[in-house]
Amino acid sequence: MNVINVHEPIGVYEAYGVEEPVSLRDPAPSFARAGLARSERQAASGSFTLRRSGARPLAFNGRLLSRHSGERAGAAQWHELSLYETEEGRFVADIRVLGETHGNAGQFHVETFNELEDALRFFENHDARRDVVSDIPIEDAGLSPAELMVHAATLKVRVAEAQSGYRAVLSAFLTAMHRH
Amino acid sequence: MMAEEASGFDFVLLPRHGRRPLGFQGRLLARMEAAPPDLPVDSCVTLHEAATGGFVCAIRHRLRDAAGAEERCYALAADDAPTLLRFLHLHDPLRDLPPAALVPQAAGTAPSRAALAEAATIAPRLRAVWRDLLAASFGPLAGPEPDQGPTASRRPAPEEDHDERHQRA
Repeated sequence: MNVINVHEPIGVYEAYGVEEPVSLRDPAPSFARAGLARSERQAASGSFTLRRSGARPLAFNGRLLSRHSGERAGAAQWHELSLYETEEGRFVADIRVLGETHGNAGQFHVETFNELEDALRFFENHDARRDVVSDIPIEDAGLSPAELMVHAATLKVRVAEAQSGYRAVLSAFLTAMHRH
Repeated sequence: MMAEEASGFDFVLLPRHGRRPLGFQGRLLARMEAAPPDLPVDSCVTLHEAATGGFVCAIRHRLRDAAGAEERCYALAADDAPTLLRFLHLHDPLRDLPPAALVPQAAGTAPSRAALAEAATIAPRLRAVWRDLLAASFGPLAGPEPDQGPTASRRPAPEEDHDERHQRA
């Protein structure tokens, strides 16, 4: 059994800002917790090919350690987080930005790391605000100032929603890693 | 570890919004919950005692109608009660809620004027429920009140139904 120990212990850090190193193999204390929806933890080995934005697909042999999707009914955009371990002992972090506004394109942020800690920080440091694509028809000369203001306000809401939604998905993703 | 388990301490994992969960050996001291049937968000506060000393407070807001039990979770560890009370009283339950929590939208359709008007009333009611939950559980915050900003939407709704609050210890 593999347990991913990603939690922050209490008492040895300031309330914000300091992360404890993590280990894939150090056993975490056992606990029982209700399963989170839309999460899955798999240990099946296999071949994976991950689509990457602006780069060739990344292919490797390994296993999926954890995945969580923020998809919900009516959502215009959501994130899906996956963490893999390759047969060579490296870690692949995959952040997918999916949704109606992206059609089949989506955005695929994929990075490979030697250490689990670095992969986790990749997830934690991801700026979801940059995943929002502006749909303001700025080149439209007929756009009135009032219309422009409404578009800008809408975009601001979308940016805030993307950031908050990503943080919620990240929270569930990291917490679900303790399930086994 | 055996002594801790014998004392009722067990491993507790508390999810946190945008951060790694907080993990520790602890035991549940109290649990307070507000679940007004006419509001789309349930709120839960739990207070834990850590085996190493100190306390941990957790907040969990659950979007009742969201598929997959969408949640917004927060937790803080502290050695003293005033720090935890400030954490609770300064918390805004609406801060990270998605707009869909207030304005349920059918796919491809804009919310109606009536839906927007209804949504406008939800925010102050949610904040009022939150403040009432804290006041009933922990009493008023000592010292200066937290800055609630200039907007009237942060004021408690005077017509708040206190019978809607459910608390369990």
